Amino acid sequence: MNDTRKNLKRSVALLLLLAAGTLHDSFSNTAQAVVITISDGTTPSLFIQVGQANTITRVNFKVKAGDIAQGTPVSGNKNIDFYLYLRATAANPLTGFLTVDSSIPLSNGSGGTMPASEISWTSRDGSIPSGTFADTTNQPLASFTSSVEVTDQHSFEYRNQNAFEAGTYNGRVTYTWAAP
Amino acid sequence: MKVFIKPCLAFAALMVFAADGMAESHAISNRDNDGYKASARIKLRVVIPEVLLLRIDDATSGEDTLTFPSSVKVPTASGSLAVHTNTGPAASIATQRGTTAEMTYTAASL
Repeated sequence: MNDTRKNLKRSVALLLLLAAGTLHDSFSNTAQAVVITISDGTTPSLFIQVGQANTITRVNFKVKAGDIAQGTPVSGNKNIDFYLYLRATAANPLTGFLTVDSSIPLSNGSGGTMPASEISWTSRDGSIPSGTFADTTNQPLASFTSSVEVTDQHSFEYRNQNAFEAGTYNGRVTYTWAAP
Repeated sequence: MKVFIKPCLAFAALMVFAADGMAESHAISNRDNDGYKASARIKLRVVIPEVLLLRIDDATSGEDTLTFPSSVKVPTASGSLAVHTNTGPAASIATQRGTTAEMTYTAASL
């Protein structure tokens, strides 16, 4: 009997530890895990998906030999879908701000860099307007008031106006959807 | 003991799998001190080919047709020869005296 109680106490303690770990993940800033939100309908929530779910989508630009730095834009090999929502009660509406961080330049792995501002995008729907990366940490893209669901698709272009050392330049940009 | 521990271990394994298997492009709101926030990322890759520009000045009179080789070999830092392929604009170019014909050659590795 005593063993059974001890076992029960240990199991409950382990479950509480796991639950605490899950809650910690839920409240951290970087979304990298499944977070299950149970809502009573009055708790605000927002969501963002850029590109394919469950992966980081990559857009490739391949410059032709005769086109280098000629000013002829080079289209990316795929378009990127955006899906965002922001939910809040009518009594306590929220405004969501979509920004992008493109402050870290693309790198060719051997010391060569390329600013993200060499890349522009065109909006299909205009919900998240066309523009060019600004090489900053907090470039405003759009804002929306709750409750709202936003979809759009961006097609990207490498502007191809400046000469860069030959190589393969890789980088990332981060979109942040926030309702202060 | 076994009755209780086994489900717990299975639950723990599921959480580890979820944390490792999901990426940042798919996010659900997080509450922090500033409000609600979620982030998603995309990768960008730009490939700039290594190119040689072969330029020939036409100093002869009349119209000439300059034919360029289909490939050239270029010494590398390691001492080997890298093949660069003719990538245009054409295999041959018509020129007049005093004009210049240019042909690009691109490294096979790119």
